[in-house]
Amino acid sequence: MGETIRIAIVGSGPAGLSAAAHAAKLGLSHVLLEKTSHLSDTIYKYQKGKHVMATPSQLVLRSDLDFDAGKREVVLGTWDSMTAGHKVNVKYNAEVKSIAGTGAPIPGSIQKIVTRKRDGTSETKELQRNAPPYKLTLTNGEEIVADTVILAIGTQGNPNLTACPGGDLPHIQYQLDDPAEYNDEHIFVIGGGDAGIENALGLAADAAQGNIVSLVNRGAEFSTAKDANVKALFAARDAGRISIMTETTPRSIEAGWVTLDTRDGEVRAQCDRMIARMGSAPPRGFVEACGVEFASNDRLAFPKLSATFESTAPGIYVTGALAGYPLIKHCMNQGHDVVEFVNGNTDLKPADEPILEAKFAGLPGNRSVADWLDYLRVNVSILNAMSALQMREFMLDSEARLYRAGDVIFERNAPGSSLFGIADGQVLVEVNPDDPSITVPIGAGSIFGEVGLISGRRRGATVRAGADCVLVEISRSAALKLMSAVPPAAREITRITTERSLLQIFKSGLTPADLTAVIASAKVETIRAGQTIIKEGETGDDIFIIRSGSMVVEKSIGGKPVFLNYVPAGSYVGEMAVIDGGPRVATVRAAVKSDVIRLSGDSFRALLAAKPGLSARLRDDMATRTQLNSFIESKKDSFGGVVDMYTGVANFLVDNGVGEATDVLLIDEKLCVGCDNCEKACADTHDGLSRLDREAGRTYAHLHVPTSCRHCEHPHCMADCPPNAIHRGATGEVYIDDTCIGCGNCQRNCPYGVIRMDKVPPKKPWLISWLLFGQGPGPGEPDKKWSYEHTKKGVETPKKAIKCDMCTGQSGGPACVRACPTGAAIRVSPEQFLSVALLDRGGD
Amino acid sequence: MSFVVRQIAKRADGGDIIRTRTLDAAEITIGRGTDCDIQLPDLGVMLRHARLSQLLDGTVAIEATGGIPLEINGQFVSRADLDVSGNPAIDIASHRLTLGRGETPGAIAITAERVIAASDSADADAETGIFSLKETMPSKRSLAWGLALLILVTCLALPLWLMSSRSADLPAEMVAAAAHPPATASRLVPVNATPVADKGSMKPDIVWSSGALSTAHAGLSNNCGACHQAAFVSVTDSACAACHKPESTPDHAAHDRMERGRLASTGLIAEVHKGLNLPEGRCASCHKEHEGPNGALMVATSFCTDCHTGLSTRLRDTKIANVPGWDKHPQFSPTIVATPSLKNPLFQRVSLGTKPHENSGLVYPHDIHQSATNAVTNMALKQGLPTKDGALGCNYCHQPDSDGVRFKQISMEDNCAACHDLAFASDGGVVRTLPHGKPQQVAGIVRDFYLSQALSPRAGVQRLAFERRQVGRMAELEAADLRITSVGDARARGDKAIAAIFSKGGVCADCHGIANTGASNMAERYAIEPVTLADHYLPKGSFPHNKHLTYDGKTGDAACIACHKGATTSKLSSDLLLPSVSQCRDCHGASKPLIGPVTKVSGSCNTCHGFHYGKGGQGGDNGVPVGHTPVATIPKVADADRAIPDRRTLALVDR
Amino acid sequence: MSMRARTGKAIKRAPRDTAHEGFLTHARSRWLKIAAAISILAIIAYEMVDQQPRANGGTALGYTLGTIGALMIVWLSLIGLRKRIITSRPFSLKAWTSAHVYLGLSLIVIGTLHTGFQLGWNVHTLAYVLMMFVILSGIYGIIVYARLPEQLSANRNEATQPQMLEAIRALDRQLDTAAQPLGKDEADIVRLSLEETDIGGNLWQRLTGRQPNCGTARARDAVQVRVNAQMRTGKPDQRLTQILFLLERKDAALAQARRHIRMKTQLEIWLYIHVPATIALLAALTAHILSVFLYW
Repeated sequence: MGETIRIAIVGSGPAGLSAAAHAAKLGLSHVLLEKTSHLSDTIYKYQKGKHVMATPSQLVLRSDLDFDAGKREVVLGTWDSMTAGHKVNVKYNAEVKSIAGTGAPIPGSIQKIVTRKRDGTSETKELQRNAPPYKLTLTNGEEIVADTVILAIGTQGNPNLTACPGGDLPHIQYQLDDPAEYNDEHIFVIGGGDAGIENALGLAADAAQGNIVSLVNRGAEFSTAKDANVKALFAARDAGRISIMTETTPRSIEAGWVTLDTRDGEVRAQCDRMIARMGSAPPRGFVEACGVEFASNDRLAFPKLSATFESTAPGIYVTGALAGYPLIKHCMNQGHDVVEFVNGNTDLKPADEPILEAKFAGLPGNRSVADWLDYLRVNVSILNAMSALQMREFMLDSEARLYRAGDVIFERNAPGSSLFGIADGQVLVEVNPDDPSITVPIGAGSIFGEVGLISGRRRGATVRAGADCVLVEISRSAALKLMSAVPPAAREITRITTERSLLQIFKSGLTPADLTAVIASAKVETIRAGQTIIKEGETGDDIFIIRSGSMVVEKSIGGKPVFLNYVPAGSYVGEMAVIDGGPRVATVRAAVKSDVIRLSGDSFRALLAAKPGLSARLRDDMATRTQLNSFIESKKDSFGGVVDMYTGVANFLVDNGVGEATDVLLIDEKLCVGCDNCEKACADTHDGLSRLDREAGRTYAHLHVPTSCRHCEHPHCMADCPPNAIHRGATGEVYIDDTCIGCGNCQRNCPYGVIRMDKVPPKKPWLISWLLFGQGPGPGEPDKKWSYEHTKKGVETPKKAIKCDMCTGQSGGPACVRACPTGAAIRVSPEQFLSVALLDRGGD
Repeated sequence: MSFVVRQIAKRADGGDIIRTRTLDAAEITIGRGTDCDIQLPDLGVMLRHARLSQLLDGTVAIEATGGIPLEINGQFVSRADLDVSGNPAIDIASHRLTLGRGETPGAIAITAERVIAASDSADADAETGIFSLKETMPSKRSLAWGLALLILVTCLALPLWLMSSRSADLPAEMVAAAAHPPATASRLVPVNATPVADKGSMKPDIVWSSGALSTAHAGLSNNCGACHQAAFVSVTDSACAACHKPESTPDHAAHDRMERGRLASTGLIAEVHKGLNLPEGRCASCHKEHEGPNGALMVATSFCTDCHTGLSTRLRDTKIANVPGWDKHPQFSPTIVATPSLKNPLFQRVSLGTKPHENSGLVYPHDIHQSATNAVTNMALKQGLPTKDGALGCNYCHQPDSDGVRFKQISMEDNCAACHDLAFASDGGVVRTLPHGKPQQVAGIVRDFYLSQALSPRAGVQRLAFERRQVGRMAELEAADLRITSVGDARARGDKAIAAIFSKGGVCADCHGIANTGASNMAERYAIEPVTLADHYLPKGSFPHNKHLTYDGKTGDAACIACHKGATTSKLSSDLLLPSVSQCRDCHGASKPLIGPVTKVSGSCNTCHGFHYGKGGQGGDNGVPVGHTPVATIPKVADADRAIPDRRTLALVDR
Repeated sequence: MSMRARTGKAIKRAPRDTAHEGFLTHARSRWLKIAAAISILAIIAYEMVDQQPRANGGTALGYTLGTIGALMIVWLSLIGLRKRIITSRPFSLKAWTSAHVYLGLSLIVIGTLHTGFQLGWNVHTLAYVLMMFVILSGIYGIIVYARLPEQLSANRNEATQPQMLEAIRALDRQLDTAAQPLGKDEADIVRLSLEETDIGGNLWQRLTGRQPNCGTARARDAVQVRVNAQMRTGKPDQRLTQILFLLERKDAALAQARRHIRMKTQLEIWLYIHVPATIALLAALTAHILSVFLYW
């Protein structure tokens, strides 16, 4: 195969397909390389009948393939037929092993590839880029030469393969589509992650299938798996349905048999099928090896791309999820666009142009979208390093607004995790809540609101526009992307945060100038949950400011650790040692994964010397804390039982994630009669679906933490939401808006299992007709059977992610609490609840 | 020779798992044991349950080896030859084996499948129901409906149906009874003293009864319709009047005066009454029923005082005082004799507060007659009159009348004559007495006596002197006095004697005032002042003396005197010895005290007063002194209130 | 698309009751005080006012008490709706319950004074009796609501109801497999446990939580006997001891489930009297009031 193809498209996902289809339409010579035997593997792997969404709705689709929200089968069907219709040249089972330029080495174009190892060390490899055309080598040895390569391989990556001999035998598979299709087999599932456990449970669920399932895990614990999954696994083990082999690895595999290395020696067992779920390697390694450079070493980082999606390797284009566009529509449009670019049409406007136009519509001085983007990039310091393409993507979930002098941008205690950049004008920060007239100006080019972003807590001060100003509000997700994509931006934000949080915490007339020394000494450290930063009795005089997460202060009294205090983000610990110079009086450990700013004692002592007002202030704070300590100690002497109970409860709550919560539902099981009115109320106020499971969840001393959303400070669910549909609402609640595409990422990411995927049940008959004549399922969530019988047939209702929205918009507050007849259910914030007030509870 | 075994297992989600094996053997075993060719994992199956052997083509022999007979097409057998073409079914515990021809010739197809689901195959959702009572109890809804309907039917629908089906008018026999001639009995008892009522069977609307009827109405207990004639219409007077004829229960006063006198309620109360359709002034307004045995007659004092408080403001021309209540009951105003007269005595209502004196025309000092130590006592003893430790008892003169409420008329003959006989001469054994109440005849008799003695004196005839004989004067002197020298002389003596009888110290003057007309004719010269004795001082109330025979621990005369104070010391008959209202209040309490039990006996209006007296009765405000004999003519009495007794009478009284 | 998140306003969160008080002490037992005041007022009025001809529903005070009582009954019965109609407007079912409990109790006073202690065989007394019936069942309810939850959660020990059942089902499966190799009569013993175990049982068994002749218990005893016998002769049958072990575990699991059921039943049973009796009371009340005006 000598001749060179114009375009080689790797990956037949929405982006790749669309690109290939357009190439075919334009009559460009092309090949679409798909590693599996079918198109669009990711969507192909959706469970049967899953409803695929088409968001953002306002985005026009400019691909040659049709795409509309609908069942998985329909979507795939359309694409298959249309691909055939466009005579796209598809090569199945063609997995690309490597891509390398065949042309002359490009002078000065050397790529550094940094690979981090498990132990934290990292090694750097250097790679000389060569000019196109590129040679694509397939796993089966076949080679393809193409002028341009479009990488549309998505982020899924390849499953880690079994390394042991016989790892390539046919009865070894890396995924499980339908557990029901295997009977009477000896099946080994390798890997103790959620995927492995879920597969194993699925295979063993039905005794009738007669499968003999064993789960093999390298480690002794199932640390990476979700709690619920592990529970279920052990239950199955106890029920004799699954055998678990921990600290075990497969040694060799042959037809019908497997040999395993276990802690106590080699084991040979019958094995008709092996399902290896050992995680998957992100495509980054492969992509970098192609000469494509990434924005940073951050996990979330994406390749550096030009405005035409061209990577740092000339002629290699990156589109789709890999380029940072998780939504199908985006991908398809890019596939189309990138082919246009390759074809020389460089002044093609991206499809999201109208969306951006709408965003800038409200601003004075009619600039074009491109001009606006450039204007912002140049004027806001943290955006300087961004590429045009990044700016586009960035603006998609940011807002640019004009504020007139005096307008309030946000108020103190308003929830908000967005970051503001000042493109023009200046804003005033009201540093003293009692006296709005005292303000600190922040000038053009700088940013504000970063505390909300970092700590995930409410705004610390009211900010208004000093002069007419143009601000860009950067949503949390955009800001996080920015920080991972543009390291300098990240550094700048950190610096400002440190400075500002210092100023905010120790007010008393400090100026940035006073702090230079301290900030120079400041180090940002990430603390694992449970890790201690201060140990009682040790010497040490560093001061810690909690940027994010929260801490627990303990003191050992009579040999037992006693819970003293819960310290939320935005406050500081460790000042006592600096002031009275003694050893640490209490232990401070992280309640949840937290970031702290460590300030060296010396620099701080210098600051104190310079600023008597500050030390006075610190002494006050210290006095109150010492009071608390002595109070609890006195209690301890009189009724130790109470304090132990108090400590127990407090620790229990912290262990159950109350530490990172902003608002958590607790049930006092001394009062709960189990009427489930809370669940019913929840369902009835949220179109028939309950967001809360009262019974499930941990209990300690009759204090029950049901599975319901805690509205975390840094919501895990927000981490990976393709349509970015999860937000923090005006009253601090974390909610999912109706752009949800039902991908289930949030459900997987939530460590507390409070998000469920479900479809809205049909309307129930009038309550009275149930009361009087028993029509319908009655209050609360209708049972599956009823819902199934009463849904309109043929109407496609998508499954969406649903979670507690704290009943926003309901003047009465959360329905679960309102509907509790006995007052067992209470919704509290940890500061409210993790306080000495608990002592009283311990008392009764 | 082979068996094709298809074992069908059910998947939890409903699907089938079919496992097919071919056994090349002429004989296979069936059972729970792992060594069986067809293993049925079912505890109901024996370890080795049966043996299946192929005979010639198309027939098999099955034989129970586990000691339990096999169920083949419904019959229990321990061994059987089966023709597979008929697809026979063998039931073993909860499994079924169906035989049939296999595809390959000579092969027998056996389908084994569980036909009775295993215990744990029940789906979880359904089973969680066992934690609630839903399956165990009838639903609250059905219970509620059942009870509610039961109650609504028995306690609402049935009575309603009865009501609607019933004619509104009274039972015939009751109306008939009502037409009986007026009863001669007391005026307050209904016309037909024994109410004829439908004592018939219990009716469903009995459940609406709010309590027992009064004894008088007990007969109506099963006949709600008798009074409750129309729905939502409060019991009307017509219902009552059917039996209680107006003539038997006359109005309290003239209807128009009643209307004007009534204190019409205003504001909320009136609204409530109007809204609830409760017109005032009905019989039922005062006479509440369903209040137990004597409910109907327990009339609240308030019902009287409502009107009588400040009555004068509404009924300007009334003559009766306002009575806010027993506590403020005005002082008694007895009707006393102002001017005695044989024809038409004048009566007058005077409040006891003004310490009034009565002028009965009679001279009667109570003290003398009540003394236990004077001549009256001796006389009484001599005459053998009833005395209590010497003194003359009250009831010698004041004798209770038939019903013991009041007293008989006092008459000269019954109450005085025993001592005050009018004897003036003895003729041998015969004592001649003067007639009472006939002055002219007295004069005549005396004169004739003297004249006859002058003309033809007889022995044994002796003049009895009313005045005591002087000491030492002898009878013959007396007799000699009668001896007449001449007729003229006799006339003179006669006249002297007449004058003596009528004038002070004379027998008449003991009790009567006497007027000297100065007529030349002796027979007409002296006139007896008229006497009128009041026989009912408080005619508007009734005081049952017989209920007060003991008072404050005293009995007999002591009891009388306890109230009628001063009866033993009164020197003049003009003294009015009536107790004042405060006397009654000693025992008769006002309305119930705010807190604590009632200490005094009832002081309600109807203790003394009646209501249904009507015109000419004691009711109303027409001030008729009822029951006085002779019943004076009404018109005169009207001004009697203002009449002043003429000077003559006064003089007499003062004397 | 999500302007909700974009406003900088510090929106006051809807006021909510975070006070950690039970329904009996809600708002520093506000309703207890109110109810007590009402009752005392009623008693004083009853003592003070001179009711003619005698105290009962027919006097002015009687009608007043009656009206108040009737209104209260209707309002109290509305809690059945309130707890199910979850409007967005602020309301606290806890407050309602608190009021429901205490005002309900004060009805004892008001209702009784309304009767003037005159009872008879009529619809009026029926209504009264039903009312007292409802209140008494309510009092029972208060008692169990106050006492049981703690035990309930202790017994549940973080296990949910489905989990309890699943545990038993799992043991059944294990028993079934463990019994496969056994002979008939031993298999039959196991079947006793598998087929003749009713977790819930009839009402009485639920209330007491006892099922003396539960299949599992019988099976366990029978197996125990055999095992003991074998012990005497020598080593017991491994399979039997395994089954005995399983049966004992199942017995324990059943015990927990039945304790749970017992308490749930006790928490629930009174409503089967309270609610229907309330509806019946409303019916009787209607009849009572109507009849008074029908036979005015």
